[in-house]
Amino acid sequence: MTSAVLAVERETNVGMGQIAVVGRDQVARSVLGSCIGVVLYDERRCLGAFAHVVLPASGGRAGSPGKFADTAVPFMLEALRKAGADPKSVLAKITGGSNMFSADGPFQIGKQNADAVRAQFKAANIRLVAEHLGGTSGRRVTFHPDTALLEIECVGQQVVVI
Amino acid sequence: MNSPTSSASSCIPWERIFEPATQSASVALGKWTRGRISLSLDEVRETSLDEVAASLPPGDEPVTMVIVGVSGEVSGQLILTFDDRSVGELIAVLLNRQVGPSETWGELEMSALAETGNIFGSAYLNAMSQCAGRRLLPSPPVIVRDYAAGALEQAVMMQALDSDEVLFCRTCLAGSGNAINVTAFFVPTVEMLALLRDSLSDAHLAAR
Repeated sequence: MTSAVLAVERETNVGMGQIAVVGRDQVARSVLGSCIGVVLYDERRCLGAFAHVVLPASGGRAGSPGKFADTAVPFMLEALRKAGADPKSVLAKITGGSNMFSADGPFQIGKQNADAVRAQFKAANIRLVAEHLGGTSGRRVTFHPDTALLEIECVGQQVVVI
Repeated sequence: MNSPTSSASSCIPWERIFEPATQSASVALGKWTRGRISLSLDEVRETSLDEVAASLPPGDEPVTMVIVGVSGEVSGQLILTFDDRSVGELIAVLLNRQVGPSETWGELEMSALAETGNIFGSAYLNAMSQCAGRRLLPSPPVIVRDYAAGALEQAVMMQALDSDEVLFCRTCLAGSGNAINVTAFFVPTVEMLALLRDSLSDAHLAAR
């Protein structure tokens, strides 16, 4: 059984459903399609948690806490607190949620994921300071806890930093 | 053809469906490329979500992808991923002339690539339709340049709704010496998985 929080290296790739807590001189990276990259961070302590959220709600199902929006956010908050962050200082940024196959229809998982994550922030009283969502392209993202900056690369576009 | 591998946790002989599909696509692509490309079923993989990206070739640089959706009674996705060298070599083989980087491609280059997806998808799904006893139809190919991990992530999403484990089939296409290396992924939805599983059970019963 794998741990719910990834063991971090200087550069940690966060896969689907995984969570990494990163600190000074470390970065968390991921490639996102319709999933949401959720970053919670305490800028003063240079600490951040990155989750690669796959689906909006667990519905009570077991599984990695990072897989669902409703389990990832409380888990990240607790992991940050354990790592020394002040929960009252924690802010959030989110990215991802694209529709790479440009499919129409009512099942738009990227948007549902983003809405579910925002609802969790509201419930936990976490301020969402920036977001970069939607579109039809994938994203390669890198979070730097030293600066609290999230770098977002979409193919053929300028790098966006939020 | 190499022996494909499949997850040890699965007792379902998925290769009985994916091998004929790969063979059929190999024959079709062999004709299309005048024998310059052959295919081998690499792996039928049942894996945890966090390991999905590990099925891709190393690195997370953008690649060219030809995406063929499956329509009909059940759905799924076929995703062909090409690194820059391979896609250039493939188009060169098809057009019988050298081609520049993707930014310089015109309608002819795009059309050659789309037709490759079409031929691959049609042959693959025809063989699979015969095994499954249902019509599986390819949708028009879409060509994108993007991150393969993002596309694969979205393709497995429907399975992820049901389970922490997802199943997909990986096929390697090789040709022109080692100059063309393409990885193709077939990702069924939950409904298609159920259909394929049932068809394997029926075949098993018929064989007894």
